[in-house]
Amino acid sequence: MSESGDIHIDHLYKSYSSLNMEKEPVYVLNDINLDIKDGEFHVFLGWSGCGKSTILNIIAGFVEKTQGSVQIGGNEIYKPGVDRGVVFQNADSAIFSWLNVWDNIEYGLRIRKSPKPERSEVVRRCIHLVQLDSHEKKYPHELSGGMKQRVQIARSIANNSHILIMDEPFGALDSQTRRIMQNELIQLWRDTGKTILFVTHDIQEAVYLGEKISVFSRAPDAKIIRTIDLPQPHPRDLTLPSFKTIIQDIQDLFAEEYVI
Amino acid sequence: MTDSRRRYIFAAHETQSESEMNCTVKKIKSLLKNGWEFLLANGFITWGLLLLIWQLGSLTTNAQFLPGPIAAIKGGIEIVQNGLLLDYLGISFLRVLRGWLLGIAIAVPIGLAVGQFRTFRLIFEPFVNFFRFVPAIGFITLFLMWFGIGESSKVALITYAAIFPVSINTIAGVMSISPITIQVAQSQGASPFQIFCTVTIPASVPQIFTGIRLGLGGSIVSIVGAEMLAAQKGIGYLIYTSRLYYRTDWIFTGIFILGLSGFLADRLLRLFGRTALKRFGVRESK
Repeated sequence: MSESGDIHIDHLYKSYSSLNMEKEPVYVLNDINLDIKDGEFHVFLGWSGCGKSTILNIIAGFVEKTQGSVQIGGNEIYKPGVDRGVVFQNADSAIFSWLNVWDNIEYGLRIRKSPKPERSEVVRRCIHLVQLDSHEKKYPHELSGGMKQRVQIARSIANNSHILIMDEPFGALDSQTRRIMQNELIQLWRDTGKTILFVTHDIQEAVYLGEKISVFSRAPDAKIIRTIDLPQPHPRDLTLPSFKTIIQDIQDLFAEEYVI
Repeated sequence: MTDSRRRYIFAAHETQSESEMNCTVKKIKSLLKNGWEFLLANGFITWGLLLLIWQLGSLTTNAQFLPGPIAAIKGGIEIVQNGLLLDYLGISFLRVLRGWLLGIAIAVPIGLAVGQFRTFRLIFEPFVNFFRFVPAIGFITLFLMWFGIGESSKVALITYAAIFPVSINTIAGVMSISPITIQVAQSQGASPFQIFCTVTIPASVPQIFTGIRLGLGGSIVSIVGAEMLAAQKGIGYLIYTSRLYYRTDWIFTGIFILGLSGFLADRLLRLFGRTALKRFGVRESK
């Protein structure tokens, strides 16, 4: 399993043709090169609209790339797949409102016709993993924001996705819930060894979670301006001087980039 | 006990009884206010006002031109007693039900296909947007020629009326599904056909249901038009032909029955939506 899950992004471009045919196309991603190791917690950090979500959408297989290559374990990505579980920020669209918690988590297994006793066992385990045991019969409109994100995470685990793609998953949560969810995510990552690709615009969140942080420049022509290694163990105390320096560095980097 | 103290107690007693009286007045006032609120909220005021204006209006003219509510009720009782009204109601009910159900059966699949596939949308949308402005009544003579003088021409007219609200709302329902919802299914390995069955259809249920409700309204409205078509019986027939017998009071009975059955049918349908379709997000609408 050592190299099978490595993600390799090579000279990736994404452009949208402008309406005026004579004009140059607009590049949202401009020559992205990135290697993400199997089991890595990789954070994409940047301003809103800087193209970091576009990268995730390309890796997830939702958006076509213009040029370049994105490979997982040596295989080119061109469509969505069960190996990549996606956790969206907007849980209201990302959880089926007509299914209860249990059925939402079971959906993928049912679609792929996994045998019933086995399926129930997996769903039960995943519900327990995200601590929704007493809520399995509830419908999405009866759940809090944090619970909805737990459902999305449990769904990816139930599908046995090796890569978790998370697009600002905690962006809509209040700060206390967000901190709890962050800690649980780290725990889950350590327990399962999954690769996590996590998009955020929150520097604190990036430094609190990531093993590696790719800092994006401003769109259009978004590039990765720096990749920061953070081998420090979790849980992290961001008030320590070493973390403070890193946060300050990123803030300086942004200050150079973004002349508002 | 000193004099001043006694005076104080007396004064206190007086205030107390006064406040007791105030309290009763307040209670009556709030009761009256609640009663008024109740009458207003449940439509009693509206109906009372309508009946009053109607009765007053009828006094200014003769009963054949505008019979008052009392005359209309008397006329209504007459056709209830001889069984005519129930007979007609049953016949109209069956026509509306058949036309409406047929309309749903045609419009929901079309709406789903048009909402889902761009090609279908480009072909059908101009068609839908042209004919939805042509009322069912415009087709009366054509349908008579095409479907004959039997039941089918009447049912066809009601079907026509039901198709547009149902299909337009179904199309809107499919098209308003968030791309994220589709992506969730894609990333779990669902095929396009599986997505259509397990996501597109359930996600559009609330709007399909709204269309079905509006379609029921359209069906009931067009019963009068449908029963202008060589009909022998029915509520629409009653309304249309009573003038020939100078029974203006029966026209009012017909109008009242039509309004009442529409109102009750919609109530029933909403109850069905609230209970049976609750998990699809069908809730009490405005």
